[in-house]
Amino acid sequence: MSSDAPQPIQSPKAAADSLAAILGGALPDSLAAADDPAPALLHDDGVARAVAGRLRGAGSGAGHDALCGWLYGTFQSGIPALQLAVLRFVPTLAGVYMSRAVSRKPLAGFEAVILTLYAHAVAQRGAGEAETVALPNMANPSVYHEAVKPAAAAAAAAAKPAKAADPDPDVVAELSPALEPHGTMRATRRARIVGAVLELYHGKLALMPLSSKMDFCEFCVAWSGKHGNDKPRGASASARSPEGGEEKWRRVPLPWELFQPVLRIVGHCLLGPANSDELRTQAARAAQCLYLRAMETMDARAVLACRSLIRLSQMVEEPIPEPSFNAVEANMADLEAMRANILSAKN
Amino acid sequence: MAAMMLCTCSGDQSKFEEMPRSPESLATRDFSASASCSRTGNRETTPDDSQVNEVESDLRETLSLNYEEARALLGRLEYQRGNFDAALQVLQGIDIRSLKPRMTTAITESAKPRVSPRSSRRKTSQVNGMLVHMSMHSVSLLLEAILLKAKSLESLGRVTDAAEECRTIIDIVESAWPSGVPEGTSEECKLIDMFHSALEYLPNLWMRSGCFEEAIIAYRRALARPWNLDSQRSANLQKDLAVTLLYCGIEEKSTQEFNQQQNMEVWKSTPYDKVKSLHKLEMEAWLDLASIYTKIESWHDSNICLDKAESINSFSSKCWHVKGLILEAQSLHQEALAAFSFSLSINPDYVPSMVCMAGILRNIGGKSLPISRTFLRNAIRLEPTNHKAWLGLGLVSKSEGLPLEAADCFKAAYELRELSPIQDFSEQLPILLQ
Repeated sequence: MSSDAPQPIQSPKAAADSLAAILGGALPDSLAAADDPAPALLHDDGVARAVAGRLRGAGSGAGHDALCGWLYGTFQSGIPALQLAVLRFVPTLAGVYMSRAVSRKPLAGFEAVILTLYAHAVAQRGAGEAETVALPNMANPSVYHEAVKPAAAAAAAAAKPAKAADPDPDVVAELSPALEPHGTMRATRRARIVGAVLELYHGKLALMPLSSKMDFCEFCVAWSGKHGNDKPRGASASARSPEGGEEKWRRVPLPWELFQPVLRIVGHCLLGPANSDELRTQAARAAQCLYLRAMETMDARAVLACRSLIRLSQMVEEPIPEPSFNAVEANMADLEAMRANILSAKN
Repeated sequence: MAAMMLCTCSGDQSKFEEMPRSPESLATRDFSASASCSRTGNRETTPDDSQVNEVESDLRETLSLNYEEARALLGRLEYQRGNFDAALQVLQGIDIRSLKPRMTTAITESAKPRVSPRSSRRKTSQVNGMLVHMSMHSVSLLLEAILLKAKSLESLGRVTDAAEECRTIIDIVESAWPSGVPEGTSEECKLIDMFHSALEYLPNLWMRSGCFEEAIIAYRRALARPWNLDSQRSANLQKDLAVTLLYCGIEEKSTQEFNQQQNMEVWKSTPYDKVKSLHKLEMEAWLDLASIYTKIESWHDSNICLDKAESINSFSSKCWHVKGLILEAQSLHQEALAAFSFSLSINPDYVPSMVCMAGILRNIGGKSLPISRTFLRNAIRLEPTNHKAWLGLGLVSKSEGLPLEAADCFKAAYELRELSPIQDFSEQLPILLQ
């Protein structure tokens, strides 16, 4: 970082003040007046638009970029609420960075932030261990089903002396391979590093504001390079920015290390409890574009994953049936009289 | 006439001759059972009191249930008209809590083959004029009332309250059918339809009120037993459970915590009496282990096992008894005596403790001998084939200088011991069979 590197940020108030100075305008009241502006930094849409706008702007992301410095310093503060506020901008950060990475533009600012997030991801995993999941073996009974062992095995078990049967071992699958510490960005590592940062983002997705998730889905569409193929929405992905004629966000290489975390996040947006039709629509569009992209490369994992996601999202929920009302069997006059009595008594 | 329409379930006309016929009767009558009795005052004949009481109690039960049914019907009407406030007011007057056990019993009994084929057409099951079980019609009506109460609450924005109501339906049916819908139960049963609706509705309500943990429990309840849900609905519930587990911010839980919670939920979703049986089995196991350690004089280990048993249920005769055995084996006779006394204070008929008390008292001798004898005679009265009791009595008689009596007792003890099984499973057998 250059000589005007930012002071280390040590409190939410300091972060808010520092951001105000960088953006060069008055902060909304929610930030200026609050004792703890961290939640506002996370949720305030106005601030988010201002920051994202800067990040998308021409010339952003260079080594002396003050906003990148702010993101870096704020995350380094170690204050969890502030770290969430930084994570909120991962879609824009990763989106712009990946799109520009193929060009020769200087992006040291972006890279510094991404690498510090990556380091945190490595540390979170206890020195970068692989993320695994145990897939329960269906041969063992669970709360939901009785296990039916094949007849041959049952006969063999009966022949042995009576002993408590060992449960069949679970299959351990690797969800995300081990992370190695990296201090610098290289083209060969880029996908893995950004992928790990996206996994970090995914881990906190339940806490992220709606606009952050919308940003992400928008970038997915751009990254897939397939937004020309789906129903035209009037303009490309860049139409969301206030200025017209913005740079177009390019199609990027999407190896599995990047594709998988992307799809996991889209899955959350599509199926999760956000209760936002707008988000679901955007996420569905993103899933569709990613599916078309996967079909290009015919990577079996990617194709299957996208297809499954889309099919799950299309599972139509039948409405919960109303109880069927048979004809009322009682004397209506009687019931009306009772009704009047109850409602006037107001017991 | 009006009253007849609603009360045809009893089938016995004579009961209703005493009822006032005015249309207001339903409306103006007080909602408590006792008041309905007061109107049946003037009788022509005066049968003996027990008969009168029988009829009165039948009438009370029949009438008060029909009263609830009337409220249920009214609640349904109000709901259909969209008057959710009024529907709620009406339906809240049904005391579901007191009716729950009868509803559960009725559902359980409905799955069993009927005694008389005719009775299925009556609205109430009656044998010899006595109310046997609530009819399935009544149960369905009341379950519908709870469901509509939940829906009314939902419409009024009280989603959490709606969920609590909805859960009642599942509690009732699950208590009746703890292993799922029994085979052969009619598919067209309206009750099952409502139950299925409730199974889907409950987690939906919890999700909307933001109680994700409750939603997960509700999804699991719906999926953990064979409730005969059709495959589409079942698949949707599975998908929703998976989605909730993955995406609702509960993912930070470590696997161990998650498994622990799963185990907890097995206990929650296991019906209470089954839980009690499992507890009892576990406690028996710990106590047996404690006895074994006592025999080999490992006091430390036997006490650990005893602690485990006590943590399950400290208010148990057998626990105190085993404690007494451990103390006695360590020659702490006074302490052992206290433990056996505790055991008998919980269950005065606990024979093993009687026998052990008697043993210690006999060793004390002197004035304690008659007390010892009394304990042993009580034990023999309760368990005439208990060889240890006979042995004890023989030893007491010998100490009291009664050799002939002693000889008889020893002979009885010897013969009974030859006949008794090596290991007595009579206590564990019911549990093992489940």
